[in-house]
Amino acid sequence: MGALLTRLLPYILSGAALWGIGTVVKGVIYLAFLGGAVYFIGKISVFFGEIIDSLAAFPNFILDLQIITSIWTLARDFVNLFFILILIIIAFATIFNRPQGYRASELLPKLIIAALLVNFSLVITQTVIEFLYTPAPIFINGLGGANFTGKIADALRLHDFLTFRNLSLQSLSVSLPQYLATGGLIYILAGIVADIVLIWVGLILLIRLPMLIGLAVVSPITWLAYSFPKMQSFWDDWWCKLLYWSLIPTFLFGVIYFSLLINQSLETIQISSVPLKLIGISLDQFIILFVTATLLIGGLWWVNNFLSKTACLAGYNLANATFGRVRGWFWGASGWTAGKAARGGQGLYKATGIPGAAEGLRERIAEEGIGRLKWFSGAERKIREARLEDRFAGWAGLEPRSKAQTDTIEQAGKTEKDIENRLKQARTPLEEKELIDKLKTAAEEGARKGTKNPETIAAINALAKRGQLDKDLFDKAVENFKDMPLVLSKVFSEWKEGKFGGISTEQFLEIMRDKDNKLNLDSRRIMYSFAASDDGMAIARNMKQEDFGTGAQLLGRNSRAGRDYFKFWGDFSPTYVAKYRFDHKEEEDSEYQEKIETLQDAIKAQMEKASVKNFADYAFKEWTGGKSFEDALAAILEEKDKRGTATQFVSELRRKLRREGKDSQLGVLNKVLKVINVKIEDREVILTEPE
Amino acid sequence: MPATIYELKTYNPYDAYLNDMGDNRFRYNQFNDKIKGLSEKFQDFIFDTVPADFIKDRVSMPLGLNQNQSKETAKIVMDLILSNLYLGNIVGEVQNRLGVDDQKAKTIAVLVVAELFTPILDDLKKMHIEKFAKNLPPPQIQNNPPAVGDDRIIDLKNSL
Repeated sequence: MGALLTRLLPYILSGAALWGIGTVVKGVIYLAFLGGAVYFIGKISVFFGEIIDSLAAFPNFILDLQIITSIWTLARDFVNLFFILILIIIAFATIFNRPQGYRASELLPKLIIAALLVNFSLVITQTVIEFLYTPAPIFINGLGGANFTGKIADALRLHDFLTFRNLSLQSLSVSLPQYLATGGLIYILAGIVADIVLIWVGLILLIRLPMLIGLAVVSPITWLAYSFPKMQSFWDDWWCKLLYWSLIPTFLFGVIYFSLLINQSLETIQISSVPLKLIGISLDQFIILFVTATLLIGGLWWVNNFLSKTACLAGYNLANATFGRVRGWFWGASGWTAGKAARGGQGLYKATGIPGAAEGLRERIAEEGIGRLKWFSGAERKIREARLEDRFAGWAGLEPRSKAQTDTIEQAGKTEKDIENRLKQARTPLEEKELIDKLKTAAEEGARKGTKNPETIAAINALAKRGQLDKDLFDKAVENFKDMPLVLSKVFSEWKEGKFGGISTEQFLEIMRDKDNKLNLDSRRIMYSFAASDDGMAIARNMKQEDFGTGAQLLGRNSRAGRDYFKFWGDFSPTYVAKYRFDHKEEEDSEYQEKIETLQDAIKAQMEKASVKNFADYAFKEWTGGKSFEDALAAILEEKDKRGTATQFVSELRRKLRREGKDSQLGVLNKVLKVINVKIEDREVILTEPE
Repeated sequence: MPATIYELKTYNPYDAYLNDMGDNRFRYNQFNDKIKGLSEKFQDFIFDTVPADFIKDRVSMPLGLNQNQSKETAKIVMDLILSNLYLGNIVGEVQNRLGVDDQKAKTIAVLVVAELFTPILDDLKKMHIEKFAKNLPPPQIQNNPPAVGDDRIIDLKNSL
């Protein structure tokens, strides 16, 4: 500070001579502000710089403290008591088959693993911390050892502001106070950036120590959580935090290292070395300053953001993959025992008729096979894992992957199968109705609470499959699963199987039209496909031209569903298809575009190859819809008449219409024939009229 | 040669009938209801191309009937199927409505009954007996019943 004032004194004096005492006073105030800021910033830098330098030199010393081992021992002994309690819970759950998820088959392997590894939890924790710190020294050494805070100050050009290199007030054409007001401010900002970086890194390294201590001493509880379903989130969180606090020094030092590396490489740029007005440094130096500050702040921000999410995911996957495999080995070894137990359970079931846990196990073995037996808790964990992955994809700016949803659906599928089996076992319609009512209650309850678990989905799907999903329940389900489009698609495909029972045609159309944009495209496609099928004929009869058009757009013409859709509508309501094709002529081939000039041409072209059966099957509204259809039919009959096949065609069509009781259609046909006759008569009159 | 659409109203019993009733909706519905009341065999017969082609190729053209006469022939066929007309009176009806001589009327009647009605004759006779039996005058006991070959009698038995 003294040096600075010594350097500035000649300017102050010359300023006093040049601009007067008032200006000098202002200059002194600026200088005082600048000096204060420089002093404060400098102190912070020094304080946190020392912390960082020390902690970089001795990163994990705290883990070797005896007190940690003592506390950990206490925690471990405490947790061991709980293992006994869990064994008792498992015993009761196995006998009474509830609560779900606590049966021996589900918990025992995890419990054994946890009981063994709880004794090594401190060693595991320390090893993970030490191992993940390994890359950090590479960056620290690259930064010049455990004293790199000065390099950050250099990179941010803090010294340049004080040396006034190449500074000439005359050449800058600015007054000293102006320079101090602007150039000084930028210096303060650069200082703040340096301080932020140092405070940031310093605080994280400081907080890391108590966090690691905490994680180490509670590690036995984490292993207890691993074996206890209700505490699963504790297990996940612990791994998440352990990985975060173990990895963060490496990432922080890495960001600083690469930022300074880029800073050094930027020294070579030569755009303009002339000092800029008001700032006092060249454009080159300003760019270096700006880029470095941005890299440091942005990099640290990214580290925090990225690591807090990735570490959770990585920790979660690592832990579950590792210990899941251990559990797999356990089950591989105990497969024979499980088979025996299952057979024993079957015997017990036969003897007592009580479907207990053993019977449940037997059913699952029968269903999935002992080798592929999946445990509910494992499936649930998979879903959580996938959800985390999806969330991560979202954070990374990608569309969430569908794994979480597909896993949820898969799990729901199994539950749905169980529900189906229960429904099949119903002996009376009343019993079946009671079960369906229970499902409705479960689905409504789930939707009301916003529960998105496989059980709620299974209940909705089972109702949909049975054609028991009413509009009210459906609306609630849509609201609940609006962020899970794959689940909605599944509901719709099940509902399609249940022929969309439970809702009226009007309600179906309302849902299909989806004016509030609540549904995903796939769900709507399922509805449009259903409407264009024999089962959906009642819907098709009530669809309008624009409904057909929307379906055509959604399904396209190249997909199988799209082709089926056009085929159905071509056979059902050719004028709809013809009008659509005419309106979207650009999508048709050149032959069509050349041949079809008017809408009438389009309708005729759509129907000209139709057989008697096709005509008889055309929708009622098609026949009775008015002139377009009648004109096209007349034109087709006239053409057939020229070929001598009209009367045969008319005769067969009349016979078919009569047999199928389609009197209105027969009436239209007769009317068309009459029109043709009138036309012929008119033509003959014109031909025979004397000139 | 098969009839054209324009010829249907002349030769086809169904179209000749329709044409005759114009735009009278009531008559159309009545006609339609009558057809619906017929057995499937009769309906198939009515909506077949055979009657029109037969009347055109086997009756009208060989016998030189004009358009009106042809149309009346088609209508008589329809009347017979709808039981508006008794089969036994066909000769007189043809004679009256077509304005043809007795011999021609008999020829037409024989062609219609013995050839055109072949696939439905038994059912037609049964239907007519059911409908006209009570309205028919009791059979007159004649010492000398008219023999086959009498101009007033159609030998349905041998015509078949």
